[in-house]
Amino acid sequence: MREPQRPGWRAILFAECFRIEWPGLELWWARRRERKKILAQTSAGFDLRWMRWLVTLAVPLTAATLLFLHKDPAWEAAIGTGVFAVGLCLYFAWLLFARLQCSLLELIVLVAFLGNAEGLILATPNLAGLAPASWVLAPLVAGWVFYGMVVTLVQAKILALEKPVPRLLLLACNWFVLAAPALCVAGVFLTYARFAPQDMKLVGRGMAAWGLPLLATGVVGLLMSFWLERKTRRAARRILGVR
Amino acid sequence: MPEVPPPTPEPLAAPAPDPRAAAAAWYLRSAHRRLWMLPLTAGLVVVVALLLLRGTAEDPAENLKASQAALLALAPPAVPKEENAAEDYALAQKAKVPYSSSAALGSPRNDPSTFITKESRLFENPDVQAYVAKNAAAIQHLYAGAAKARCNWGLNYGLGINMLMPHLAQTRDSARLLAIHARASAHAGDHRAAARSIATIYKLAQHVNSDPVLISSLVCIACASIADGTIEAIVAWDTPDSSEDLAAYRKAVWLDRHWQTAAARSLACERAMNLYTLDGMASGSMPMPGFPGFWAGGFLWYGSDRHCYSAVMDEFIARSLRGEWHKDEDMSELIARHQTGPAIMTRMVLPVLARFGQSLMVCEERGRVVDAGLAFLQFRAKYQRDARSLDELVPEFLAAVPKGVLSPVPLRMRVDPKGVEEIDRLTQKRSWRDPNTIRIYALGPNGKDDGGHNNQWGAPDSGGYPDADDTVFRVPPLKKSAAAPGGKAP
Repeated sequence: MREPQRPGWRAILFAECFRIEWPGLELWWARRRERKKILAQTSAGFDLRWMRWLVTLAVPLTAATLLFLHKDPAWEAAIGTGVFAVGLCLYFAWLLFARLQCSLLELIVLVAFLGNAEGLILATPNLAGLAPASWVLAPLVAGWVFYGMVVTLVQAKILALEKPVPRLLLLACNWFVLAAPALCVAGVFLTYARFAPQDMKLVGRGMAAWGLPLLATGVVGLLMSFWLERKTRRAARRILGVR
Repeated sequence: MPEVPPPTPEPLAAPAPDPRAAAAAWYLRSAHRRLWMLPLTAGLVVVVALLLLRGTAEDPAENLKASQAALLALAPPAVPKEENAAEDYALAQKAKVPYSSSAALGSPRNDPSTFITKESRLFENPDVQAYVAKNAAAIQHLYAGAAKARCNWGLNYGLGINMLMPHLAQTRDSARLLAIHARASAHAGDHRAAARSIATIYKLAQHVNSDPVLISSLVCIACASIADGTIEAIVAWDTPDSSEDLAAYRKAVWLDRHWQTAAARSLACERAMNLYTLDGMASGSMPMPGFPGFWAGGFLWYGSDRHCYSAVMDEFIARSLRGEWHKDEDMSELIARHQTGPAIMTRMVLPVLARFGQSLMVCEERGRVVDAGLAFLQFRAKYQRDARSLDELVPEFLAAVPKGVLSPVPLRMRVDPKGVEEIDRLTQKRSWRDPNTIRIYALGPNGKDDGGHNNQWGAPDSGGYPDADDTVFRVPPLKKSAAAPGGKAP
């Protein structure tokens, strides 16, 4: 039997709201559940489920704390984001060291990159005195580095990349791709600062000149992420035999 | 032989999970990771900002030591108690009696600070006279303080922006009390006593300016303006006509107010105080209630803001010493020139300082205009006629025609046939008094000749000019009876 096409979100919403019996939809949902089940079973030996949920729950819990408690928003945000950052760091570090295997060269690159990134953050004057900022930023950067490394190793496995140079390029590409949305946001902010009226200028001319290059770099990163994601997902589906 | 049962085949071991398939399945289950991208992106935006700004980052703990030393160095030297005018001013404050209005018809009910520019009949009111009489002891203490050369208000500079300065409001109250006393004395015909009270107000203004704090300078300007306004009100309502009285008033006027030095001094103190506050906040040694999020984002803009503020203030102080000043738009350009990263405090604080400089210049200009007006009256008292121009006062009453401060052109004089426009605050009814008023004026901040009119701060005397801001002294016309028929020019 030919698998039904995925209905659009309006059709799903309409069918759910008005309790319309729609055999095609039911079938689609059933197959979707089945596919998710297969994915969960297959990845069960790889993933660390409780840690994944801890990291995920830190996001809405922080938002809820800020919305409903807001006694000291700065501290609440710092603690919530800190929990998220440490969780992210631990989750990917565990995947990296317990489930995956990287080459010695990749390990050296990882250590060098992590050390430099953390060094830049922690050696910034005034940041060391602001302990909460260090608590949040240091594990967040470590989480980003581990995240990029894990995704690279997984992608390399899926795409069957064995040679060191393409793997290292993929690693650099993943770190860049993960930071691309941040580059876009920073670029938009600085571009606004560049073209804002004189009295509204938030940064100086020299710094505002970074706006467009950052924005362009971020957009390139986003395009790369779409391309890489599409390519890897197709390969992953082929391996698992699912659509 | 028992039959040996055939060996049962061992159950097949579960196939080992394919690590590639497990990784592929993990990769396809990306819902959680997509959610994580939101806070991760927010955090990385901060990291990107940090990398951009770390070139301008500074250590506030180190800066705090230097800025604290710089601020403490600005504190005025200690003065022995018996030589300290502030001691007498404190006694005056204790001796002050508040104004109380009786239920009598026509008795003024409002704040005595509004009496200063009112018509002279007000000072015949028993309540006002009783108010002046009850405050005689306070006025004597103020005279005693003004006679002393040195003044130290005992401020604690170590507190920075949290420094308490209760003497400022008290000094303004004292200036108003002295102004009311001057008006009452002048109305009673005792112009010497009035001149003494006015001289005391000017001395109070100078004493309050013994601290280099910017707000002290502003109160100094306010006190000087009270004295200038009192002289103009006395001239308008109880015009002195003897040369001796006018000479006493001219002697009382604080003429050279050294606005350039005063501005540079106050700006240097403002610079030190704001840097000390910023360093204290950034290092956490000076918690600021109502600014709880400072530490969360403060480190990002502290260094660039401090650098921009210092550079702009240094240039600003140098320019004010050279007699140059800025308008708001120039200040914005100056900030843009020195700005590297965010400069939140600089953009909040500095544009206001352009107006502070303008206030100082107007204050200086006002002193010159008042002096020229009194010289004009001296001419009238001597020759029983009005001078046709200010040049006629030179050299007997003025060494030269003074120039304006904001626009360095000589003061101007004109006769206004309409007189001085006034407004009744209750009925909003407009009226004109003293037709053919003589207006002696400088061009003011806008640099335009507004015909000697000024409608700033809600004053009604616009003369048809929408933004009249001339610095003006109005002299009532010569009364016909007082004019000598055969008056001759010198």
